[in-house]
Amino acid sequence: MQVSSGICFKQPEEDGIDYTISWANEDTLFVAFKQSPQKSSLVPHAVRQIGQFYKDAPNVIQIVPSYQSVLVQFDLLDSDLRKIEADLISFLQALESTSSNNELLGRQHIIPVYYSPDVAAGLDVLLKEKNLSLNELINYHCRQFYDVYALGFLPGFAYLGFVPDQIAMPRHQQFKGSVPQGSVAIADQQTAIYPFESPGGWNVIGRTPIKVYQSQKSLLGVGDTVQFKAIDKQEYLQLGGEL
Amino acid sequence: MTPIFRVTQCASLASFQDMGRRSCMQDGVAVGGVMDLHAHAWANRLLSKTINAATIEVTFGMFALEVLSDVRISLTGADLAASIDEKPIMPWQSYFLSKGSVLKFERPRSGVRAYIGIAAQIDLQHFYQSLSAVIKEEPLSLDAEKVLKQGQVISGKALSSSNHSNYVSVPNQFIPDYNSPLVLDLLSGYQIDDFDPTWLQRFLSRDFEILPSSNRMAYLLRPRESQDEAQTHNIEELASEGIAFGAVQIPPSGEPVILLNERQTIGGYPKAGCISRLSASDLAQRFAPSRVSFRLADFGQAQKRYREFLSFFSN
Repeated sequence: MQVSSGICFKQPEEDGIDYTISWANEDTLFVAFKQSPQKSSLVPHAVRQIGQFYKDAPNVIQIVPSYQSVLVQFDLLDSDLRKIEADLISFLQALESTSSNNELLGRQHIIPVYYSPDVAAGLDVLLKEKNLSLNELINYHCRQFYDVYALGFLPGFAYLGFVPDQIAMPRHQQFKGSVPQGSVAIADQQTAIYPFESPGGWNVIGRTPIKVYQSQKSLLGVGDTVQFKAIDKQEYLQLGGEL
Repeated sequence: MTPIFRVTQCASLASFQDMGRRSCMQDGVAVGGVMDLHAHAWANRLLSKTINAATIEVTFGMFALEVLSDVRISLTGADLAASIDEKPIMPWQSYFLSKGSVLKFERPRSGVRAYIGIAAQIDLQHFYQSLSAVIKEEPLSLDAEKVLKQGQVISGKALSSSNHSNYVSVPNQFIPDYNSPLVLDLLSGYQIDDFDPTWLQRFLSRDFEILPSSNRMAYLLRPRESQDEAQTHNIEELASEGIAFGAVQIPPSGEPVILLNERQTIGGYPKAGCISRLSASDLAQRFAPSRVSFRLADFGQAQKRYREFLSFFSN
């Protein structure tokens, strides 16, 4: 470990994961992994583990896990900075030696979705462009578990990855009016649920009656997994969905 | 709870703010908090309150409060031509307001954000352990009563009068001059290696102008001289990552964006570093078309300075 001009830098281990640790500002530490989560499953594992490591620490003000990085803000008055650096480095070193232990730490969610032009205005256009039937789209979207890689844009808006190429669609160049609350949408290889009605540019394919953000809490967190389940109109309405 | 104020004019922006929400970014929720921490901290110190007590942040003026019960207040930050019952008052002091009087703010004379400390426990619900409003989330109605509106009544429990401060006014050496040219301290370690080495040299040598679209979320800058082109670059967008307070984001256009209290929680543009916490306080009192530039700061000194600042205002 070198500490120069306040920047603490970790050289990669021979076989381990390649990362750097630096201070972004006076009280905020940034851990960045070189490989993307698509390239190395060790990266999301490490991101989750760091999240757990700081979860209940009283001197942590914010922790922001994302695709291949974690940002941690500390209470400067309640923190020994040299100790924070040293503890994190030993934690990451220990993690590398146990990284084959790839157990799931996050929660699993099944999200019911009503896939229909009734609740997804541009769905017919998308199906035509991708040369798919509605059933094919549903099968592709529902057949796998998605990882939650990051939250942002709106309270509770979780970026889920990654959808199969057959249903990947670039986002609209410009926001297309207002997207209703609960809309399930695709942008490139990512999919997401709109927690609130909002301007948005993603391709809407359906809607869930589930509220993903309420009472100061996001239903989904980084490291959780999500699977979508198709429901019909009747079930959607029974679960409180609106048309 | 006793009614303390009624908002009788609110033609610009006024909101309750403290040090910001905690453990919220992981939910995709913005932090909020005071834009000028220095002025806010003194507003609380003048009333013997801790640095995390909420103050009212008044931006640009055009704001008035009718006093519904006797209360002591403090006033710091911008000079927004404030008055009590039409009698002019100066910031960086505490004042006693008696029932029936009117505290009024006109227009900016120096700086743009004034802070009102209140010697009372304000009756508001905590959201992520904070009383800070986030203006951009207002349409979501998560936390609407913290953005003040005409007619709104502010209630609270007065603090005992024995709770008096050592300070009646802020000593002169701690009162900033918001009209002086501003040089922002840049902590550059983080991600600067992504840029060409000459890029930083050039970035540090230029003058920027604050754009009018700047707000509590971000300050937008552009090179000051029109013949001075923006420093474009071809660095690839990164996978979205958590954004630290004060991050200086450089989009491909080369026009810097300084991300502040209501910043988005994640983003993917390359960053030249972060401005220091206390530089952000100075920046918050400037507005378009003020001039700013950057200088490299020593990280250890900036960290020490911020820690001492927090320590002073927390005791």
